[in-house]
Amino acid sequence: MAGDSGGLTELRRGVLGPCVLALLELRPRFGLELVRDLSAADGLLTSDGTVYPLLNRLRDAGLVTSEWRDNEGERARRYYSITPAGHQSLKRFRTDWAQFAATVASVLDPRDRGKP
Amino acid sequence: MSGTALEHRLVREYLTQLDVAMGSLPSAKARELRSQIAGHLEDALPPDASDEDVAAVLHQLGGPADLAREAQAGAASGVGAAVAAAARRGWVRIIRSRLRTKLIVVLIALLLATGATFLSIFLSAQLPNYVGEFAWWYPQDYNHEVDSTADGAQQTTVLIRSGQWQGFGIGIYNSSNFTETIIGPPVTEDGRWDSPNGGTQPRIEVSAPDRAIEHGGFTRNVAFESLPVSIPPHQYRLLRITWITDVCILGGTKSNNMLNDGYQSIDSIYLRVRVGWFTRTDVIPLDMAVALAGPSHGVYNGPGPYHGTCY
Repeated sequence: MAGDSGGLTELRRGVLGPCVLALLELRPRFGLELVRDLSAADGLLTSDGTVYPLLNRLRDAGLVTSEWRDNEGERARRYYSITPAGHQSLKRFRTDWAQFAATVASVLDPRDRGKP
Repeated sequence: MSGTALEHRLVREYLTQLDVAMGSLPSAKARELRSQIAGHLEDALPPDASDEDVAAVLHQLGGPADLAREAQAGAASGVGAAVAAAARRGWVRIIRSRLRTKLIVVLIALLLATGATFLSIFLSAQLPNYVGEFAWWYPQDYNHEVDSTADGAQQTTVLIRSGQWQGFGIGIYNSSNFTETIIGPPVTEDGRWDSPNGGTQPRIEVSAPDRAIEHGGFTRNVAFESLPVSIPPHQYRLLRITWITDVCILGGTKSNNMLNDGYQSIDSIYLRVRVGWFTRTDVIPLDMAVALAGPSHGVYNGPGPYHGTCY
């Protein structure tokens, strides 16, 4: 992405996992479906391919599981689902993120400091 | 035109480059990622996709080397982990703070619980009690005491010796598991003490440890200590109460200090006793009434409006 700083790329990469979990929390999804939903959130996904290594890491961490499904008239696809551990991880991240985002915002914009 | 997008020339080239880029990955991981990328391309591209469409999808997918690098990256990489770590550090501070607060609350609760426990223990501890040993202290009294029974109640009576020392001793026992300290008689509003003497506070003393007393006996050959005196758990002592008698029967009437016509008596002794952190009033019932009675002897110059030779 033009104009991207390395920091922003790192930030995207860092939050991508929880975002994947958040989408899978709604319902199981196959790879391209996930990619399209993530791409719909503008600026979140810089390259589609990064989703797959990420899914594998999430699976290795026990946060995501996958299964092959044969849908009638379509080719078999691998669907990814969030696990109970994934739910817990996402819950923790949401709490952490809210605090972290507030902290960063207060540092980036000192005028907001002290506001309720 | 081909059966699936996987047979497209650009796709095949891409997958070949990907295989090469993933050369350093474990083969299982490499196979898995290749399968995922291939599936993605199958879903993303129709079998008859144009070169432009394929190129666009491949471009959006990212370069094979980038994908391989991404696959090789550790799970802990990324800002998410850093965010979580930073947040955890924040939480650690909060948790530490909360733990500190909780610790303080727990300590206070423990102190209160301990205090309440000690309060309960100290307030329920048995105070020194009378063990049945009684004797008038001075020979003029114990040689002339009169024991009587009226309506089933016993009474020991000696004559009033106005202006002279009179008193008695009793055996007491600390049956509790705590050292108990006799501080003195209860302080009343008018400063009076409920003694046969009628009003003047007596001298109260406690014996030093003594073998005869320790076996439940009574002896006058013992040293006494002035209050406050501590009695260790499960020990006997003599409690000596003496006074200069200031009651007198004057010409058929009574002095101000006489509460009854011709005699005064008590059947309990009141003491202030400290147990642990608390001071309590110990009421020691005697098994008889202890009385001073007329006729009185001597000259009365004590409190009250009446003075002169006792009757």
